[in-house]
Amino acid sequence: MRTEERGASGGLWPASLGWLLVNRFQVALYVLFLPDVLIHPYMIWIILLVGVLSHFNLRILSKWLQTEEARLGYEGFVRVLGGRAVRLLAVPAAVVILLESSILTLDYLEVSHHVLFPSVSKLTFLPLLWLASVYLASQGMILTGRFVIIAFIGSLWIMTLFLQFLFPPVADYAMLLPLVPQKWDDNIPYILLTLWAAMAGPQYLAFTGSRFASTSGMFRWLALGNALSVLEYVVFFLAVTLAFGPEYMRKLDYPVVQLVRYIELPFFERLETIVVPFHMIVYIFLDAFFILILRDVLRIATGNAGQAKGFFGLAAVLWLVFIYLFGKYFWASETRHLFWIHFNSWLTGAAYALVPSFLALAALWRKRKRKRS
Amino acid sequence: MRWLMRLFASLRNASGTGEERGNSGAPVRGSDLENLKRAFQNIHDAEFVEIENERLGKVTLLYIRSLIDIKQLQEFVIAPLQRESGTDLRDIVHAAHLTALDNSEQAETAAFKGAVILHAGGRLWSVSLSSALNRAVEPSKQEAVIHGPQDSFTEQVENNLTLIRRRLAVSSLKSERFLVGGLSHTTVILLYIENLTNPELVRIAREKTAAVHSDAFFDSSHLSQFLEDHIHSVFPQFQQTDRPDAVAAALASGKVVWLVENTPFALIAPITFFDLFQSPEDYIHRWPVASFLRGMRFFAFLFAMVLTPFYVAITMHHYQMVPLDLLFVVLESRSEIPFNPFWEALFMMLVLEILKEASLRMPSKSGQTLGIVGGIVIGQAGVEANITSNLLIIHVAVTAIASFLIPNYLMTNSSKLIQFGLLGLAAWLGLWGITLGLILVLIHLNGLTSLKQPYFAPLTPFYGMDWKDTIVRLPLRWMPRRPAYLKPLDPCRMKSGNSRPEKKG
Repeated sequence: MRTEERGASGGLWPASLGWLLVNRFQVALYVLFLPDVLIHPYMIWIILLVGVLSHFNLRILSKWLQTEEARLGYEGFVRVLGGRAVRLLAVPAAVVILLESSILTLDYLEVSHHVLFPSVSKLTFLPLLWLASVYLASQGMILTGRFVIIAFIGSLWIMTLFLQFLFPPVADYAMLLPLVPQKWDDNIPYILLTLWAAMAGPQYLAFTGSRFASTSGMFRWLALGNALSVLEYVVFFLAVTLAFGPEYMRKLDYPVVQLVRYIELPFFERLETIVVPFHMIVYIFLDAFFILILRDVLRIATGNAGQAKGFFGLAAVLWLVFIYLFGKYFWASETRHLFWIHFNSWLTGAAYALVPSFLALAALWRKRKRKRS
Repeated sequence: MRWLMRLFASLRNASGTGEERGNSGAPVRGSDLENLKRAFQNIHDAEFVEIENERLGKVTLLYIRSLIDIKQLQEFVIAPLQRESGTDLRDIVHAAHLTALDNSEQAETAAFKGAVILHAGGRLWSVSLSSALNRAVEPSKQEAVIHGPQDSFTEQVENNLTLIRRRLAVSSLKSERFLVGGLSHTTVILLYIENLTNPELVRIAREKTAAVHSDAFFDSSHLSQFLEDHIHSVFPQFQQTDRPDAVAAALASGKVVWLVENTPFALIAPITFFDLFQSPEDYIHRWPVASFLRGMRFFAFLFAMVLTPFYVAITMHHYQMVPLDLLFVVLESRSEIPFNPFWEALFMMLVLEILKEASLRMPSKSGQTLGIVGGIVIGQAGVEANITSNLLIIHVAVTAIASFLIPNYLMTNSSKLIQFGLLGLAAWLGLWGITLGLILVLIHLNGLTSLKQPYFAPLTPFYGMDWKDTIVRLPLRWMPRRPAYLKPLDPCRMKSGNSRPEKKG
């Protein structure tokens, strides 16, 4: 563990923090976006199926986290992969982190722009989001990880707003039919990919093994987080389907956000004006996490992995500049926006499938090799 | 040569500690008395008295007349020195606080703390005879309760210690004395319960107190600014209280307490954000009532910070959020105001702060007049002159009342400052800005520590058991353990055999 974090009050992360980390990593982007892709009611089964697959992937991840190498941090990776390979892998890792955080952040800013301030450029919000993320990241990985508790409480309540749409008179259960498809959608591979990407995110925990005080019973906690994500996706999907119906859903941008508009309180209406800003807390947490991972990756790539300090400022500035330029030149039109969301599904989906398995297999291979020798 | 010096030093240590040597009365250089006399020059109430004793010879008394009890001086020092004889001063002066001094600096400090310095047989001694210049123990004005103990601390640190010791009558209640301030020589007493309080906390507290370097300390809040971990934070990292029951409860839960001379306010640490919303009355009410009131305080804190910025955000950026009937009321109320809601709110909030500050500094009767002038005249006139709207007056008034629900005065002030920040963000970016501001506050709280312990516990890091006494206050019987974030050596609060009938005869 890095020296600046050793002094963080309250100690390392307990294994129980794992469920919150998994859950918030998974639901950040797709909770707003997923019903755009899932149109037919029978797709609820696909959510459950992908949830089960993710469950198995988390088992592999927990196996890796329980290895001695994962708990050693950088030295552990060097033991498993070798120093040169780790340095080489750090470069594409930095690109992946930058791309994923760009797409994630810009998509949120797009929603904010769309719902709250259509006349203000979405990039106006970027420096503010960056400022908050850098402030959080400056507290170090231990405290940033712990912030997930606040991010969880600060955003989970949004789901409770949708519960009313699951019951009559708003809910029309006829909209749920057919639950068994007569003909499968042609787009099924893309839907499966998007759903798998919606369960992605926990792969980043593979690099935080040294921050956990104990990893015993880790799988149980990771599985709990995964189950909660599945529940959230099901609730949001059901609420939107029951309220709008599949036909109308196709015509809507961000149906989850649109649905909030129908909630009326004696003093306020149009609650999306509150919901969208509050969802920001998850993005600030994720962006802070990405900046810290990027800092570590930059240290490794430049051969300064042993350093306890430095590279934070560089990581923070690089993150801001990259997202700003990406937003300015690659995110301008709606078509490009959709392309990048699609690209992100491939990127995060592949990373989620490969990273835990690759590391767990590499650790296993090394263990066997050591036994043989 | 170095090993020879080390040998001498170890021999010196082996012959006893400094304190032990002091008790036998270390010989004082002849120039020390002269130094003392020089130091006491031009002090009109400094007095030197020389008394001839049969056995001890000439004994010189030095004291500051205004600081000591002259009657006691006559009775316990002067009269025995004139009448009795003995080879040692301790055989003649039978005062409880007769202490041998090592040098003139110690003597000077003791004299200004209300001691009489005696120079006899080439040695310096001090007898503490400070005059009893203290007020009576009265009910707390800052943390008044309707039910429960009605005593509070005074400016006398020893009396305050007595009030605590009466509540925690155990030998494990340890008190360590420090003298801080190059000019004020303020006595600071560090209190903790041995075998209960985490030794790491005691070590940090001791080190921080010993490392304090400044000329003068006149209040515990001065000291707290030298002890706190984050000097730029708006949130208080020490709890200040003048209630002995609150201090005793804090000690019993594993915290550390500082008593500071000449102030009735003790410092308690480590504290959490949630501790500052607790009132001693919470433990007197029935638990559902206490929980409700505590919840109200948190709500009021949020209300005090957010209500006026929320009004500004809605009226400047999010009119669509207001239901149509209410929107008519808002528009009508604001229709003739020439400023935008931000300037209107800023003006009213500043006026309110001016009124609050002025009423604090005014005598109580003038304060009432000020309340009427401020609340009714300015408010009413402001609305009639179209400087402000009725709705905003309601918002500002509710905010002011809500801020008084927070039991901790320092926290009330923190909420004020945050409110101004949120007001600016609300005017700029509406609800997005307010949320960003609140998230920044949460991030700040997440990283804050009090005596190196997490300030936002039991939320981050999460301690499930501590939630029984955080936002709600569950029955005391359900709280068998002390707060986990303090990591006490003895985590269990309830043990069999703690209560026993008194046996007579």
